[in-house]
Amino acid sequence: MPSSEAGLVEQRLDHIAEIGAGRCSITDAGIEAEADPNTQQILAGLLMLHEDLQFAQQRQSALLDELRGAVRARDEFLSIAGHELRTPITTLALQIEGLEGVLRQKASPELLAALARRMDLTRRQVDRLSGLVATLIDVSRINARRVQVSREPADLMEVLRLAVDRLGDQAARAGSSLRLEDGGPLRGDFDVSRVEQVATNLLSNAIRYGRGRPIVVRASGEDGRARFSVEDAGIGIAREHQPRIFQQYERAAPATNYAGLGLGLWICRHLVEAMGGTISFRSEEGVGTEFTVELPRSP
Amino acid sequence: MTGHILVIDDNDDLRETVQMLLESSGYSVATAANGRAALAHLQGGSRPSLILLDLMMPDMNGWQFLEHARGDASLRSVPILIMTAHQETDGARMPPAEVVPKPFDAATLLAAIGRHVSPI
Repeated sequence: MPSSEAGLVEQRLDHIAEIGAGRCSITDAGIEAEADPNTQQILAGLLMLHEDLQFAQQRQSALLDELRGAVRARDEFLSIAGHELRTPITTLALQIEGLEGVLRQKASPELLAALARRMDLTRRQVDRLSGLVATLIDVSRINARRVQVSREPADLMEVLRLAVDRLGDQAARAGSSLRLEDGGPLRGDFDVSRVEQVATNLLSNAIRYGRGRPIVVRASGEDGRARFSVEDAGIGIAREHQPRIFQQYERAAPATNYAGLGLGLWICRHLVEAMGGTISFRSEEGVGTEFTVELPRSP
Repeated sequence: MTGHILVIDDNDDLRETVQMLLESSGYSVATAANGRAALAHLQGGSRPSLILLDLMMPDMNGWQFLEHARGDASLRSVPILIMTAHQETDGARMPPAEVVPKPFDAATLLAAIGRHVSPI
């Protein structure tokens, strides 16, 4: 290749590189100034390519803005919807309590017995609604990076004991025994309500996917760390689903068989991380799953 | 102090429900659907021993009512409990007032009230 031609090729390559980087030194006046019609054509082509690319970039950035706006609007909606739902849930919960109070005072033992089951089921649905609404609010809070941690001196074992006690009935209904291996107090500064929320979530999963087999909760601590785990002997998590179980809206179990929003573990991970801890698991399909949470005992 | 409670909330159902709960627990209750109606009630000379206040209301919201109440010498000593679904943000905005986060159950609300006033 003659050196003048090689120089021309190099110059064109420079132009292509400039276009790729979003810049271009070719102008209409520059093209007209070229004597060679072939060169003029090549430069005109490059200029067009540059303009197309610029248009595509502008379009992409507009779409990205639109997308960000849509995600923001979704999170704002979740937050507003969650907060709005809290008022009717409060009214509902108070009315059910009031109704129970009146029944206890006025109803005959037969009527009370006949209604006890209905009251129990109704109360449980209010609790479920409150839980779902709390989940919506947590999602918007996590996405807006507004998770607040408030620590207080507490015994982790006691927190776990309360969670286990509270879910005992639910486990029994699913046919699972629920046992806490109590190794004595595990004191530290913890965000009690958040730890309880994480433990409750892991326990609910263990009950839901536990196939009615025993569930064991363990806790231990050394130096500045405390650890607790929830182990079930349930359906387990298939290897191909394991990498994404902590992601938003992901569910390892088929949605056609198991209800849920696909948010529990994602929320757990964010809460545990906000508390400066880690969450991990080991699982084998058909054998069971063990989740382990490790938390600092002081900030 | 014995309990005459003013409940300010624009949600009819919750307002009535809270009224029923408080009355059955031995308190006397007056209600108002917004801050302006509450002020009109107070200007009639009524002095509650505690005010239960919602925040998001049309026609003088809870924040505006609170500001007014804190500037009124005769109301300054009346404890105000705020019922809100936004306890994180609202709590930070007004540290002097006690917050009862929604959803609450009867025991939580009665305990919060009981820290300030007793039934009649």
